[in-house]
Amino acid sequence: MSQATLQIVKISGHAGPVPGAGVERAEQVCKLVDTTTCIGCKACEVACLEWNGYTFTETVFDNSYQTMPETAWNYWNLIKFNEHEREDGSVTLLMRKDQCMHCADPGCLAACPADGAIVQYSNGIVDFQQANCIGCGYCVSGCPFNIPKFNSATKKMFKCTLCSDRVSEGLEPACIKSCPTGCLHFGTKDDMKDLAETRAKQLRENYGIEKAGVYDPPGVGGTGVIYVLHDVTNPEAYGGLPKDPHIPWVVKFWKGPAKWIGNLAMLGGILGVTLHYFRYGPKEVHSDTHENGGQP
Amino acid sequence: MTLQHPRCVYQLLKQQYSRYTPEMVERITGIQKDQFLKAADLFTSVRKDGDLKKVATIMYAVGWTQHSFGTQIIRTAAILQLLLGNVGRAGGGVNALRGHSNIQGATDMGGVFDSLPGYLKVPSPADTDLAAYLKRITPTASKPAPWDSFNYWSNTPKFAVSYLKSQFGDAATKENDFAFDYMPKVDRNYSWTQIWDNMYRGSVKGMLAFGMNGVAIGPDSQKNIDALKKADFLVVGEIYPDETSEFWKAPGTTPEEMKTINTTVYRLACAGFAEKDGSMTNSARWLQWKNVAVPTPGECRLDQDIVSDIFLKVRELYKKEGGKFPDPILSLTWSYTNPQPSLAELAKEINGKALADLTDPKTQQVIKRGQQVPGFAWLKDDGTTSCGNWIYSGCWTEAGPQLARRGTEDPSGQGIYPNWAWSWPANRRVLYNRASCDPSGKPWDAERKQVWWNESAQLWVGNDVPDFKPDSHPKEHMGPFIMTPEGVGRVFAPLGAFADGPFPEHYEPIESPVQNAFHPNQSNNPVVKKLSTPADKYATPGDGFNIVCTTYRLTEHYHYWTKNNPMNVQLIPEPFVEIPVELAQELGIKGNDKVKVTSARSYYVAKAFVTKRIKPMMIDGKKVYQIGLPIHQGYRGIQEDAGRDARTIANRLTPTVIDPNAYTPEFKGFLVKLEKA
Amino acid sequence: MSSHAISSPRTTGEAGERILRYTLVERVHHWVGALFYIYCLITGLAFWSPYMYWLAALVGGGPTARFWHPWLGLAFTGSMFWMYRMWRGDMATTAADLRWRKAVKHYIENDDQNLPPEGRFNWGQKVFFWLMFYGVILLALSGLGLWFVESIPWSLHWFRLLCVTVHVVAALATIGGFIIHVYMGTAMIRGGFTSIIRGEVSTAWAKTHHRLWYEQVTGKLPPPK
Repeated sequence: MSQATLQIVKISGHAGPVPGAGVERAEQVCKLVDTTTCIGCKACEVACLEWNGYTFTETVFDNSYQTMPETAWNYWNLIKFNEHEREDGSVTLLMRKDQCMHCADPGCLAACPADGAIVQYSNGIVDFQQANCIGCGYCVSGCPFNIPKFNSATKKMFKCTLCSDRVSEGLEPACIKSCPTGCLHFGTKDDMKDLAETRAKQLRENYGIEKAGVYDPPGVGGTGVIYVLHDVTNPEAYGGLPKDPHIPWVVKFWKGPAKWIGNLAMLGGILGVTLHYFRYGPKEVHSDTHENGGQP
Repeated sequence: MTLQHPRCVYQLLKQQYSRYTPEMVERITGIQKDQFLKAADLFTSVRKDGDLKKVATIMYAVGWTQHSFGTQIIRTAAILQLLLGNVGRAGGGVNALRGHSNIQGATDMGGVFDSLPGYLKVPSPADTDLAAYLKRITPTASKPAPWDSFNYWSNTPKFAVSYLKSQFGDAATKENDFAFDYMPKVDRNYSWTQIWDNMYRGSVKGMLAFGMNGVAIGPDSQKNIDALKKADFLVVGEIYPDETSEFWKAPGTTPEEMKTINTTVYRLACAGFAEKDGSMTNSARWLQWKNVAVPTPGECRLDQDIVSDIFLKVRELYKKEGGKFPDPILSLTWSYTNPQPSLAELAKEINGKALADLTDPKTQQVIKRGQQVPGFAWLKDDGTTSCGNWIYSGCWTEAGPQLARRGTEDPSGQGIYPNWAWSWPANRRVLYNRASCDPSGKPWDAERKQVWWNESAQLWVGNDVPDFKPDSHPKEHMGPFIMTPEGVGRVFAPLGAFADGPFPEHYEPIESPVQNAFHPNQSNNPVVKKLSTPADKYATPGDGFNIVCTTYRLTEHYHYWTKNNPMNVQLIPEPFVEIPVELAQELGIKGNDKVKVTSARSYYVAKAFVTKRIKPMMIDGKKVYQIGLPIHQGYRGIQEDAGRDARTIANRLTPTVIDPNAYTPEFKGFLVKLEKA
Repeated sequence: MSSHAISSPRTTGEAGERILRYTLVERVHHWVGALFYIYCLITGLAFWSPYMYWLAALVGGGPTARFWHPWLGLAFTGSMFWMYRMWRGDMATTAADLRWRKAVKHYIENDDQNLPPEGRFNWGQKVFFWLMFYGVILLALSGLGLWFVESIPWSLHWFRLLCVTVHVVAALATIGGFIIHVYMGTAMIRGGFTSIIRGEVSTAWAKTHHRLWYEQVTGKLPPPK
């Protein structure tokens, strides 16, 4: 599909400009997760598996309702449970749907060395293209949310696709469709942001939940998945949601200035030795031996 | 009306609950006084400054009903909602959240032993003939001034006779009391717990269990298992082998004991919910028709086909061999297209039809003989109508299956959706909706009008079907509670309405760690029934059972069959016991440790789930701990078959004590011991 | 293990004759190691820059390159350790090295006659050797962290970033050394390239570049301290 390339705005490990640069076709899509109305039923976990054709995993009970400790190559979204103790001693069970955040400035894509293994569409979805993935795991370094996961059998990395296949056909993602409480919403980023802010305001003003707010971290340029949190000042309480996620400066430096420095250094080295040869030529071997050619 | 007379209901109510101070609430429940008052203020704030626009609802499930005083808890909610004016209002009411998709349908269709379809009372041996029966069960109006009462149950004879016609057809005539003699006369308690008790004692010889895992349900699962060992036969219709259909394999059954079990077990492969059509009735009383999604696999058969075949075979045997009283069986109507009726035919039969041409005297509308009746207002007590369930009448009319409609229009914007499916009665979405208007017929909230009196049409009209006599002018002062003989809400329950008293009173569960703070000498419900076989044991704190235990369900599993589904097992793979952090520390239990919970009846082994979410309670100055277990595992399932858990059933722990009105067992609160396993 | 030239008819030290500088074992190890390093270099450069990603196609394609890079890196580490066993004696810093180092300007400007004599390897070569030795240790350790994608738990995420940093810095450092080493061995020191393939150098070559070594192997000087 020739038009598919126009819908791609960023490509990992790609030399030169992106074919779809400058194209403005789609609005940004966004998934809104309202943690204040989530009941942790896990319908979204199952819907994702069923849509993507993954079989069910053998799991083990570990003092929690959480199905497993982290997302996996074959388990792309996971409700994280945390029995959070508030300052007044009361306990609340926080439940947060964890999956790829589809950052506007994706760390995985920045870190990936393989051409075309990770792409970002003009609608904001960040998608792994396993055919181009080399399984190096650099994306793990770039992601502040611990999302990309490795399949050791196929040696490819996997994560939530925001149902790019469904979205491209005008359908909502599978998780959204399955949610029984309607705490998952899907639409344009602007609309979802509006909805989220309205809900957060309602929580603050009508229910006295003063710290309610919207999680849309600017450190990664904003995300394609946003949360309404009861306490937006404490995202870590929600199963380790980072407070100020951003691409690690090591990755930024490595893929930015370091590349320039390194490449220039290597080029400089080659240039340097070439110039040296021009200037000084090779070393000559003297056939007569000087008895005291060097210092004792 | 002054509400001041010392013997008026209001004053008696105040007197009854004058003892229920916030301090008492704290003593009995452990909920701090200020928190209770905050909740009370919040709930009653709907009527702040006399505002009648706002509405509040109460939603509950088995946490309330599964107690030996469960009915009284619901009564309390009803009284509260009546006092607050929340009944008959959209967004109000007392709403049961049913635990199965069709439990409402089951009770509507007379699935409980003490009612016929449409909640007609079952005949008793004292009803010597139809007239006696109808006299007993048809309430006479009582009109407390200044209210007029519709007393709609006064139409009982029409519903009852139409029901008899639906069962016995032409064999039910005016001359033979419409075959009233063919109806079983229910002489005692045949409720769930009683059936198992009877089987244990040997008077019930066998059982047909369709989609019902009696062993896992309990209460006192081991008693049910032992009861089955004594039965002659067991027929199980299921989609998986379950604990009931393999009762002899329960842990603890020795090989020697197995040799002594003579129960013949028939296992019939049945169809799953997606393989059947038919209707399900939800908590909002909507009948929703569903279509077959996938064909039945292998040799599985539809439940109705199996039951039909059994009935037809029994009838054949009666025809051939005679018997004690073959008439009811031989006379039961069975005029379906095929020997096994389709559920569509049954639905039509349930809706009811005219057996003769009928004319409405007011509108002159004619229904021809053989046509479906439009609703229960057409039912007669003279044998000219047939109707399987009067409250469902209207669900499948000449216009087609109303219950299959899928209209998503909501013209009033109140979420009424009048064209989605069909709700009983008569597609009314909110019961007693006359109460959503003031005495003059004007809605309390002009912005959310449900029904109202239309003066020019001289009729009640609305966005919802009025639950009222349509042409009763407001000045007639007819009470909105048309199903009570008085027409008004029953804050006070008359004699005979409940096994308990007219006003709810606090009672402790049969197994409680504390005495009743109001009356320690009568801690429990005085009319509760305990059973008395050797398998029925009850605990006291003195025996060392000091921890309160409760059982519940999870969203990841559905009762006892999802342990066969890899999807559910993945989400929650193993049974566990939720234990408060403080109690775990006291007993040296860490998360994931294997623990044993023991009640007076049996024990349960699972992994510890140490949690902060369950806090210790201070009940009457005593520190009381509560633990909880999900019910979903047993001794047959994916994990169970792989030997990955202890294979014990949660309901081995629960007591055989039941609510005296609804006969629901007290699954939700009993005493246990807890230790590391 | 000593790396003195084995006495052979070719080591009489007569002018015009050739002496053995590198044994067969040494040469094989050098080239095997070189091959491993070059594969890692090519694939490493491919992973380093999108503009060099096409290099991966030359050596098996992206996933294959990713698969072999750490294995051959491990092999190179083994190779490096073998070379360490072979040459660590020869690579220790001597008094001659310190003298030579002070006069390194002459070496750079190809004014070798004004350089003090050196042993089998001069200070520059020794610097290169130790650069590669320590470099490969850093590359191997950081490489192990990067090799197994799931090896580092999220709680130690900083360690993954440390591995990335160390791997990049060590790689660039060894590449720098490698550029100079190849330049020196091919363009700069005539006969150097042949010596590491055929093993022999002329006596003049030996006297010019590694006088102390020459005198030692031909018996004219005691072994260096």
